[in-house]
Amino acid sequence: MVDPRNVKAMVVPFGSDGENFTWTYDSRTNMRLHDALGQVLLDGLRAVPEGSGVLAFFPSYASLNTTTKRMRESGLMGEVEAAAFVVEEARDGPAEPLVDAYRKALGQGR
Amino acid sequence: MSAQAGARSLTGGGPPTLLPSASPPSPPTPPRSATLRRRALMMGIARGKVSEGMDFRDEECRLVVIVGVPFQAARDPRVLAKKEYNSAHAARPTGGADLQPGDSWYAMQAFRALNQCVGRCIRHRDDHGAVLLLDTRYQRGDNQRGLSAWVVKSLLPEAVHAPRAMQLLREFYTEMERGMLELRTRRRRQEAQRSLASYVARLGLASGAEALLEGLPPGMVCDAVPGEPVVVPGCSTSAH
Repeated sequence: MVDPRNVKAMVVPFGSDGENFTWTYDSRTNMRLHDALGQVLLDGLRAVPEGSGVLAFFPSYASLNTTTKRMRESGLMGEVEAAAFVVEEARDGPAEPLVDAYRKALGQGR
Repeated sequence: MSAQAGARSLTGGGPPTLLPSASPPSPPTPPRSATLRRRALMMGIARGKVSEGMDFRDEECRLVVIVGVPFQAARDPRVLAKKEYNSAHAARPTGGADLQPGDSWYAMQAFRALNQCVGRCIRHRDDHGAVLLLDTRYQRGDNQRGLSAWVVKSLLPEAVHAPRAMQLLREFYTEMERGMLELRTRRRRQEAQRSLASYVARLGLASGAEALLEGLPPGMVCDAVPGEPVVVPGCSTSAH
């Protein structure tokens, strides 16, 4: 059904400084990995056309929180927020208001 | 809208005891000064509400970034118990036919969650989007076989480092935007031709109308606004 030309899928095992993206229990405290991941999110947001959305999925709340905490400390989150409206899924509560805010930020339905 | 107004009146200065204690914080509102063409980033969880239940069409999702392989927590007692149970019973000659051994069950669960995440981005035939799989383990062939067929068909055969991936993404979006522009132009042109044809038919130019349509310069047909009458040179507008 989907034309393969309309999809681009890539395995990206390495960050910009050659970091090995292996997200295991043992690598969860390796901040270099979280820095490299933050950079991928920022660069990905800059690569998509204006008005586009990016979804990032983490294996757990713990890993999402580690990455966002690190991005705030390093200042990378500031750059991401300058490039895009950022929403984080919460452990509790409905997802609809978050998704609505995300859609509104993209200028949908105006 | 009324739900929004209701939410505002609940939180707006009333006694805090009116709010249920488990009420989630209201999501941040996008700044109104933002341009209409703003980008957005949703950070979600595999097996979470966003990855399993929400649809994102067209520009709502042009890129999905998968961080790691979404295995369930290996140390979770429930996961350990299920793995053990499956391994023990799948090996039995009777009663275990529909059970996978623990390790394959564990891998299948991860792929199911992964494909749910990846599947958020392509929601109809003309949709387009990209997927980045951020883990060294996706380099292995057996780890790619669990991916949905439509992803495997579009998977770059060789793994790339992040800067190269970004370069390829930009090329992909440029190509896709060009394709969408061509598609829009083609559709506008077809609509304009249809509206012109109906106008000509209303004028009663039965014979020779086809020839008139054929002979029109492309620019003129393309500039016509669908739904509005088209002014044909040489035809009197008093015919209305």
